[in-house]
Amino acid sequence: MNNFAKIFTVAKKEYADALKNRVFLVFLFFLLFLIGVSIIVAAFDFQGKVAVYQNALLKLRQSGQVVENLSEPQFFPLQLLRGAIEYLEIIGAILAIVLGYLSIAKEKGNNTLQLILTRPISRFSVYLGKFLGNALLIISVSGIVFVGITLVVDIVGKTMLTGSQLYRIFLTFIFTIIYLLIFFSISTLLSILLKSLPNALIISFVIWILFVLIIPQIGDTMDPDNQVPGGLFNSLHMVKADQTAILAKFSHYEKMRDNLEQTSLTKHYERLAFAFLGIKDTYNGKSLEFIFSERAIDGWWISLASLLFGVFGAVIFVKKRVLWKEE
Amino acid sequence: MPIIFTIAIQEVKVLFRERVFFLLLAIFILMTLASSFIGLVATTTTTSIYNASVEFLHQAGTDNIPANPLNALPALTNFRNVIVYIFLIGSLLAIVVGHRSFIRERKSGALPLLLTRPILAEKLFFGKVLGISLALFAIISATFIVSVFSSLLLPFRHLVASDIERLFLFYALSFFYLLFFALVGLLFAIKTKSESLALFVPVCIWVGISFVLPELVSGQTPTALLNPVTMDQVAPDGTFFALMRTYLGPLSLGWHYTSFSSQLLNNSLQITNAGIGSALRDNSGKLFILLIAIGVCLSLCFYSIRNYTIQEENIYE
Amino acid sequence: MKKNNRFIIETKSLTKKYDGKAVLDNLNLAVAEGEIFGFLGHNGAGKTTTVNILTTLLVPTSGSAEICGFDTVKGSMEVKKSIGYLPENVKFYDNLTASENLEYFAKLSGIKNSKEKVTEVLEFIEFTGIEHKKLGEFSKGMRQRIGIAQAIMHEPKVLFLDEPTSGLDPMGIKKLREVILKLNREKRMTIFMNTHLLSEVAKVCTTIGVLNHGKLVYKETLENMLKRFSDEESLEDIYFTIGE
Repeated sequence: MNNFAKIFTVAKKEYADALKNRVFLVFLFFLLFLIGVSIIVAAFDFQGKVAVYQNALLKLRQSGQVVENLSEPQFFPLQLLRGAIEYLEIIGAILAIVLGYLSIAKEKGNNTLQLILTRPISRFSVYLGKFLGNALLIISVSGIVFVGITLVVDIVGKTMLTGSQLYRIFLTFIFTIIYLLIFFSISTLLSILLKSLPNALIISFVIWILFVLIIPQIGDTMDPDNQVPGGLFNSLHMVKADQTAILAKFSHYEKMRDNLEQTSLTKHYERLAFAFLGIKDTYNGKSLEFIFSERAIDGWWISLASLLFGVFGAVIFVKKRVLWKEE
Repeated sequence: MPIIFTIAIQEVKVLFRERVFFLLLAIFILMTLASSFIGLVATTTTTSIYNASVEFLHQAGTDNIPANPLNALPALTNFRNVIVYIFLIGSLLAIVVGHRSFIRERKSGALPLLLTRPILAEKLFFGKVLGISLALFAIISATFIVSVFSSLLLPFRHLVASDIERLFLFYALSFFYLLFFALVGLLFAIKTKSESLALFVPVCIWVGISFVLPELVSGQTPTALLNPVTMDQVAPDGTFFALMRTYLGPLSLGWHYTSFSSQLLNNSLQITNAGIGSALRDNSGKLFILLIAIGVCLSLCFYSIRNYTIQEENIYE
Repeated sequence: MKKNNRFIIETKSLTKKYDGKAVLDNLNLAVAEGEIFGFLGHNGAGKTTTVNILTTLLVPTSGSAEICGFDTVKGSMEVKKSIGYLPENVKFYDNLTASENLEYFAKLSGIKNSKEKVTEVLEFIEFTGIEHKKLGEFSKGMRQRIGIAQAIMHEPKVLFLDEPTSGLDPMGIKKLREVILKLNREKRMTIFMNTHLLSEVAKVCTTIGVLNHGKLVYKETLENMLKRFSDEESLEDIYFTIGE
């Protein structure tokens, strides 16, 4: 067998192993379920808002007041995906951690790593095989998720998505794969590096909670307009243009907050996905050229991180002499 | 010394020598500390923004400008981020505490030794639960001390006696919340053969309780649930959410914890400055559900440990 | 077999089934006080299951077992008081020192002056100077000796050893053998040892039993066995003859 065939054999086994693994399947179904639920919840949430609007409109009309200030909530089908993206960030990342961990743990646990490493195949090929197998798996999972999302949005939104909207979903799909590979590589790396596998798993979770939940949470709570229930500017009855003028004076604070958020790779993925899908109002209805000119940096960040952790894992796998458990 | 304490002390002793536990504990305490600092920076900036806005409005000729809403916020506002960190990191830490408690015995091979000592299974079990509770108590006390001290350093808000009472109740509630997760960790460490599954399943349950159920009940996305200002926002109207509130509402422990805590710490959007008495009365149902959940986990753990059969320990890490 | 001794370990039609498959099949076994009993059998013959039932860890499907006259199910608490147990592959708590590990088990065994007892037992097995080292730094052989210390601290009447020599180097095996003989001689401890190593049995045991597919196929004192099979070349041949 030539080298390529060997790599392919390893990759195929990784793929098949994961599909037989209960932990992986549990998380996969959990993810699919949550994403479905989140889209439906978002749809009901939107319906609720429309109802509130119509109620308010009715009341104002009855009391004979001007209704111009009230804007009708508009329906953007891609905005239903906010929860789905958040669950991909949270559960998708756990799924990737599970894959990375299992891919190394199953070999260490029953000492098959020594067997593999004494076969005529280079360490790099073993790593590459494992990486490719799991990458294919991540691609398949994301593929299922995004096809599912498209169908659910079509049904819930009662409209067919346009070609341009589908293209935006496709772009999000690509960057989701890149994002998930970061977590796969981190947990693979830690499982190779650390002596104790459970510790590798727990530390992967620590990194996960930092990137996915803590840093974004800090950034969010530091938002000045988030300090008072209902918002500071609302309580002062200030219009948007004036708000921007005032905030311009505090740009250093905003910059600090932004820098903090940027240390989280999840935030980069989120900004990019929210821009593609128009979930963030600033990007809603904007052209892809505009979005790329503003948010390309986020794409670079996650692609670079993905590459870096992957290469780092390969280097450790090839260079670390004793990979198996020592008695 | 009664056997039950010997076991409990052993539990705490071993736990506090584990590096991973310390790492998590350090992050938890650090975040509690950081939350005061973050709060300080954010409120100082917001006050400056308010002052700038006032100046701006004056120049524009507007009179009758409302007072700084920040000053109207109660002193306990400083602690609102602590709710999030206990909800988020504390509960994960608690899962690890419960998980390690049993997995440690399985992996060290000490389990057959424990089970062949002349001790009643009840004592062994409650010794362990006592040990876990002591560990959680230590964690909670540490965050309590850190947050009270760091709030004393903040210049503009001072705690009064009733605030301390509220804080005390909040930390007591947090203790029970953490105990629930520790027992979930323990349960799956007993029940599940594979060590990784024993950790993953509780994490699944954690995500369910912390994010999924609250989302179904309140319509809030995960990140919004982590924002202490909007944390206990209620769901929009509509039959869907009404249905969810009726049937899933009682089960969403995470939602109960955050909304009850918000009221205890005067951080609620719903009732501002409700008295301690009324906060307790309004939330007694939530507390009851939490205690029931703990009771159920406790019985399940006990039942599984009674029926635990020693077998070839085949832990596939 | 010495007739004046009562049986300290006795099983009656002991059967254990897993999913309908009998791992132990009507096992009748009796071990007299003061013996060193070698329990032989190939891997999967049911040796560990037997020990697990005798040490109260498993409940038999049918039949019964008694230790010192106490039933292992109904009188499990009394049985636990009379036994010491060293399972195969025990690792203990890595983050605790040797004496901390031992003190914990001493307390669980109901020993009052646990500190003194730990010192005493470590001296007995001639393993001192390691009290304050963490178990994480110990070799397999060292852990095994801590395991022995743990098993004999409360001076049980019967000591169960499950494959005690597995994974030990020749020096470790020799030391273990010395401790077993010393315990039997000085403390009159009955020792029940699971093993598949015949060389071990020949060196320490007074009686052997051979288990094959959950059935006791042979039980005899070592002396008588060697008489009966004097024409056989080695113990190994005897084992194969019986096992067939």
